[in-house]
Amino acid sequence: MNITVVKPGFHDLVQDLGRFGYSHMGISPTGAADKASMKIANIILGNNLNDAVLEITLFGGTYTFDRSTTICLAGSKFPASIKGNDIPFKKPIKILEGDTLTIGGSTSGARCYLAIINGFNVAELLGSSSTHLMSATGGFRGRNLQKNDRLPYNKPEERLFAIDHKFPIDLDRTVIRATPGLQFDIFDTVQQELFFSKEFTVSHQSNRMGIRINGPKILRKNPEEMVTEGLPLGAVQVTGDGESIITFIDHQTTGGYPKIANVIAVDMHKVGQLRQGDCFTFELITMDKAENLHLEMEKIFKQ
Amino acid sequence: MNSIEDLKAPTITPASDRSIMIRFSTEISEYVHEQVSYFHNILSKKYKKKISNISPAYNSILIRLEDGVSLWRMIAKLKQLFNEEHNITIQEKKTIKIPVCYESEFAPDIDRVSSHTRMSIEEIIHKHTKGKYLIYFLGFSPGFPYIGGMDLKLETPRLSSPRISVPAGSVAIGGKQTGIYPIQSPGGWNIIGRTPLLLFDWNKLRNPVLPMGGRIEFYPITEKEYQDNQGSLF
Repeated sequence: MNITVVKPGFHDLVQDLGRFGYSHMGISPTGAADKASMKIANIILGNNLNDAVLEITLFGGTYTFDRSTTICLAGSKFPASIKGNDIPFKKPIKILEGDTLTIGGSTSGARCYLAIINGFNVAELLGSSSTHLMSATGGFRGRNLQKNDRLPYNKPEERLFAIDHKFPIDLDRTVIRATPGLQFDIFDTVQQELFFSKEFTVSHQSNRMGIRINGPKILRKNPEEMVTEGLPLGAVQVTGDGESIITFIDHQTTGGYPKIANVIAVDMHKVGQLRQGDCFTFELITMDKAENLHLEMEKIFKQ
Repeated sequence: MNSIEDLKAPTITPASDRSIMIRFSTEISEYVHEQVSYFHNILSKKYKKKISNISPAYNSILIRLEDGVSLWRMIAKLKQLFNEEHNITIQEKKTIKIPVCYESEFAPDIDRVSSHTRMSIEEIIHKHTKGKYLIYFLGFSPGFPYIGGMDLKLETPRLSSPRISVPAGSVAIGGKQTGIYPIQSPGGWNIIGRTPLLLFDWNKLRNPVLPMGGRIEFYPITEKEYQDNQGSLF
């Protein structure tokens, strides 16, 4: 069973929740950029949370299915249609043999997710189906989908779909909450206040490794070199030029720039939806509050 | 086998709401490396179900928690662990001898290193191959070794803008460090040579060519020897 790519989207990647347990080998966790939306799409279909999905960035393509199955779209709103009929997000959509799905350009954030019953079927690398672009590994041949690719999917079974799911997930991308980063204290209060009050704009030089953001320059008076150390997901690194970069899903496992802040876990899905030109501010919150929000979010996905 | 005494308890702080930084020292030394290595092994075995990823570095370990694991409870557990008595033994180190072709075709930046260090290319090769290096940890990209022990006379600043793609096997100098790129990747270090051997194999992660804690020696080979061994397994 395959999807044939009639026309590829801007950047179609097979992803799951990520490749864990190998960062000590320098291997990035990678995975879906907006895990909340990916999980929602899988939950609606009754899939396992980790079943491989297709991550579609900025604009989608045209895809033909050679066997009947059921799919679900979630994430930022992209216009999507089958035989000229618009299809809704966050609903199971029946696909018939030979159906062609067309997905247009996003009308909101950067990404949407196409989940399919029992997931896409690609060879796992170290227990994950995620694509890591820098090392050109995992997912579908270690790369984004191209014209005429045939992406296999698993055999569906008859399922009854629950219809009463509620996902109280905040999608507002204008405020991103963060805790103090590992080197917060090496920045003086003026720099800290600049960082947490001024607006940042997402640069076009962003990718899955790092989101570059243009805003106030955070310049230290005596910038000394830091010893390379492990890099947490969501860490906001400040370069020697005072530029800020949000450590993102395909990040290097270690790094040597100081980290002024760290995006909280429950707001990482918002980072996954940031696109070039988006403006936002960081809001400083405590570690305790961030952890409680995480534990609450976990309950939503245990349904 | 030697053992380490007078272990100071490391500092343990949240790095984010889902990760914890354990710092053993602010120094970089083989002594600190032994502590990092010892606790990396203990933590990855003991807390397999609570830790999703662990990144040892020169003098620290970052652990990332599984979803739903409480940050503060984990920190309390770690503090308890470090209060226990530990007998850290220093393991024998495996030495890996790496052939490097320093010919200009594979060494686009060796002239830059030469003019910065005011040393001839022969002297650079001599100093670089004389060193006994330690792999402190792997990070940055798949299988990339952070190596210590370079002769500081070879110190050369990084390139002002990184290359988009550095070929696999490239041997380079970045500031006070030397390194090897096991896979093709972006990089900003001065490339002074290349090894023909494959240094990273996705199927041999349990027994990597360049393991954390291994020692490295480089030896020079000719272009002909490079061509004859290109793509060979280690």
